[in-house]
Amino acid sequence: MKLEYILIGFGILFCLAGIGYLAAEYVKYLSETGRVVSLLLTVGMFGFLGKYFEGLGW
Amino acid sequence: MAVKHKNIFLYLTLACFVGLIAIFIVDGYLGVYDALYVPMGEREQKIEADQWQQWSQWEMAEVAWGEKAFFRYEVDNRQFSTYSANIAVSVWHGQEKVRDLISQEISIAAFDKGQLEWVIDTTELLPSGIPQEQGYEFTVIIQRGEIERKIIVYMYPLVYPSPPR
Repeated sequence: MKLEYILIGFGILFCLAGIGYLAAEYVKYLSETGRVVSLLLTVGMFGFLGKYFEGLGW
Repeated sequence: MAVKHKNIFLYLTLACFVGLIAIFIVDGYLGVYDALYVPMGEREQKIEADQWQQWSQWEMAEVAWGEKAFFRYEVDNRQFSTYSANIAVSVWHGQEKVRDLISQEISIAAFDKGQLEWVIDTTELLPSGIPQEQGYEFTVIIQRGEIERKIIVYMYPLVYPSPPR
């Protein structure tokens, strides 16, 4: 079970690093609409992730 | 039921993540982007795709009086098809065209780059009677298909007026 959490933790870290890299590289090329939708999706992603961990009992 | 409900949030998280990646790829990466390398005195500065607005309003390229200004225009085709357009470069001053520099058809293969170079000899642009102590500005307009890019070039004087005694 602990190994699972470690793997999930690594997965989340890699996902965040990937998003961070893409954001740093390409956010300047995004249209205004793309930026707004990206922001909403980021908020949604963290919100749902929080609800998921809440459901797990964290 | 509780397990299913719990997983719904995980799937929604993944859906948001996939949506984000899709937006970055489709809206952020794919497309046609152009950049211009302009002279800044002895240095060369790159104007990137997101800086055109700022450069057309606030920034200026700089070249010394009577020297040649070297420009390099780069078009990055990040599409799955070949990109073709006519690129026309002209010099303007006071809303009047001074001269045409280039008019050339370019064709760039998918996910490839193309570039154009030109030189402006500032001595040929200067109207007669302007003292060397005076700065002078002109505008370079790049027309790529329907897209227009404007760059103001400032010619700085090499000789400064002597202070009054």
